[in-house]
Amino acid sequence: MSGLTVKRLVAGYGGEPVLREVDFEVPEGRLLAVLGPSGCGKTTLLRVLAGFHPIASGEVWLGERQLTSDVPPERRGIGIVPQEGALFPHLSVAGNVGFGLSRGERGDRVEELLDLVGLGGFGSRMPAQLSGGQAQRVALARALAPRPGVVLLDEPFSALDAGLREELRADVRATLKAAGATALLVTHDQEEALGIADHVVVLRDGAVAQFARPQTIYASPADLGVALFVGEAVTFAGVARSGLVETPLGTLPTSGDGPGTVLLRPEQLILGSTGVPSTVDDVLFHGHDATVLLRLADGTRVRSRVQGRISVRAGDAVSVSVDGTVLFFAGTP
Amino acid sequence: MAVLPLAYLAVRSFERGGGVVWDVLARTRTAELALRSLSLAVAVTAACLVLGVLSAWLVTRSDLVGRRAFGVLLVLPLAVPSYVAGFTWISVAPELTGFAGAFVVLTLVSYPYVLLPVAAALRTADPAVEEVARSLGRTSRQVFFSVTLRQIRPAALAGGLLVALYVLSDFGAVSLMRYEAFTLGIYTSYRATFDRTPAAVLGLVLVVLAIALTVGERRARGMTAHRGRRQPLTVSLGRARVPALAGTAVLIVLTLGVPVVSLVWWLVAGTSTFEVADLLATAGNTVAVSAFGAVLTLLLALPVGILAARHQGRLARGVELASFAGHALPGITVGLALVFFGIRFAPALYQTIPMLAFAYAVLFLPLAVGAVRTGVAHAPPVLEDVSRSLGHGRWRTGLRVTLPLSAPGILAGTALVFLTCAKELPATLLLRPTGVDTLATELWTRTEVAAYAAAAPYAAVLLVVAAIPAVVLDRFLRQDDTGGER
Repeated sequence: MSGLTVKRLVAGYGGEPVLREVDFEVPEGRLLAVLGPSGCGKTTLLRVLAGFHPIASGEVWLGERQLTSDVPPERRGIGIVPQEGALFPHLSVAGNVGFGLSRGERGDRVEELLDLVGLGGFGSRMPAQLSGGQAQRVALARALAPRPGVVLLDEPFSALDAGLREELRADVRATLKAAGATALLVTHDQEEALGIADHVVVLRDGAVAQFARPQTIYASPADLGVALFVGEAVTFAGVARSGLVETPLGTLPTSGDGPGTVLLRPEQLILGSTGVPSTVDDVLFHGHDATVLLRLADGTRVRSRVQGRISVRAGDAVSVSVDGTVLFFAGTP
Repeated sequence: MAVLPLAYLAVRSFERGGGVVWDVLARTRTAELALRSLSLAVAVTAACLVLGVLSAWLVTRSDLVGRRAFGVLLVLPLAVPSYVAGFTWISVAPELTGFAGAFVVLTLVSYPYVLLPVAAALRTADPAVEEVARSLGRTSRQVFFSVTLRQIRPAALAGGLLVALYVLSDFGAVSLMRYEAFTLGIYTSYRATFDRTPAAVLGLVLVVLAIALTVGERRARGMTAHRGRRQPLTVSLGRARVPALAGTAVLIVLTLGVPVVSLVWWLVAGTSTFEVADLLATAGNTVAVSAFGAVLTLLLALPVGILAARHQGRLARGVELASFAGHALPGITVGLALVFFGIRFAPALYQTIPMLAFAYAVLFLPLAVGAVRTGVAHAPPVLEDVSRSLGHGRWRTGLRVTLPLSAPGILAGTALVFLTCAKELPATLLLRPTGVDTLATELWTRTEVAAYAAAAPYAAVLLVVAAIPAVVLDRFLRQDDTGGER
């Protein structure tokens, strides 16, 4: 296993660049998530790294080795886990996992990997007999078998239903860590990216909008676009002056100066007996928590995320206060 | 390449000036032939639409007893070549000839062309649309006419087109029934005189008719139905149950019972004088010629089919169009074109097996291209990407991934082409080397001279041969159902 470094990478179709000077690195043994809406260049990035799409300019390094466009996919040592697994339908599970191994290596290594992904004893099954989650685990085992330098995962959980997705996400992370694998995962799901990765690249229109740890991306997004993309938000237009900004929720502490946009996360809005008076419009119950839709005295609508027991109902009058500092992005949106 | 012989046919027609062409076209006989072919095509298509839609609805949507078995039995007539059906009918009812005879025989062998696409459309059409219509106050009968029929219209029209093309290019049934349609007219004209220009011109007219039909159907087809995910509810037949069952049974007796019973009768009761050695030799010829044709067709189809599978868009649409054009190419015209072409440019090849194989390739290339395309589509490119990322180069990937996945489809397609070659009559009649008889030509020759008992064994062997593609394809499609899940 080795680290992956991408420097000023440009690639595209015809004359149209899809990736524009992309920079990031994945340290050895770490998991990087590339997060972006569809059409941002995620798939092109994966295809360039795996060797299926040429580099227009820039560099890709795997450890000490530079991967130019001349290095064909079969000599890169980069494993791929496509969407929905893409297992070879004519081979058994063991045949799939052993596909990238020489005859001599197969037996033990295949068993070892099936155990690693929690599918010990499934070797003789055919892909058609597997559930979606199992197929995805086999695809991961297959990619890890030849001990690649990096594993690329393309939206690996998108075809699974919500409950299974969460469970598999944790298992995949554990498996990659246990194998000591360097991995890069692309996704359009911010919860998935923030939840699984050590580092996150937010890709927007083919360029890196932010490259940081998940906590940093959520707490200090590089700009308003990233902030809105990585989580729910309550926004107001406002003017910041000497560390304070005037909002419908009162005067709040912030950084920045001049006109701009104030951004709060719904969990920063606390319902209680102090603060700005408001009326509850509706309560959306999610099970583990709930979103309370509020209307302030001046008619402004905001949403608050409440953990634990919900004690308010539509029509109730409550007071709202704000917890912590709020984000401020200068400039008119 | 498929266009070449046709282009030459056009050149040959106009060689002696437009005047000759005009003369042939202006003959009342030409108009008569066209009228006969078209009226037969219209009558058969109309009958097939009624029979096909009704039977499709019965086997997919009603609670008809044994509808699964009926579903299989009702499609089987597709495997009966028209001249075999024709032979069995005239041997049973010699007074059934001319328009009526051709109409009955062609309707009974070609209605599955409507049944199959319509049944598929009925199975996949979204039942929610019908349910909404019911909830808005329509009765189930009104829903059938105002909603269901509209949903299946594209499928029914596509099937109707196939029927019309089949009738236009059919040679076997009309020649046995002595109904002077276009194809028979071409053949007679070709055999009767030394001046072959009229035959060439008539051949071209037939192609033009077929193309006009294809274009007309595309215009009329309209939107395809919205696909649903749920199984539609079955409709209880109620009091219509007995007539429906009886009708279906009668249809099966007419389409399958008559050929089988009459063949068995002739085989058992006929004072036949056939030689087993002759039959075996003829069967051997059939296999050799068809195998040659199938392999040549496959070799020509491989590059086109792979291209069409891997590059969506214009080429794929072109291939789809070509497959319809392929149905529009009558065997008699292709045979004729190659006769002219062979005499002029390749006299050494004229009336040789390679020339016949080439005719098969021209006729059945679209069939083979379709099979190759379906086969290769079973090996999606992402699997090749995975294989390469696991360290296997292009060649090993092709050998270990693409080939094993696409081989079943390609083999099934080749088998289908082989058996279609074995059944082909008019081109074989024109192009076979002197002294080489196939099952189809022997059957035709013997029936022509009313030697029914002598013809029966050939018909029986042909029926067996022709039933095989149904089994092969059925197997392939079933495997597709279970293996295709991801």
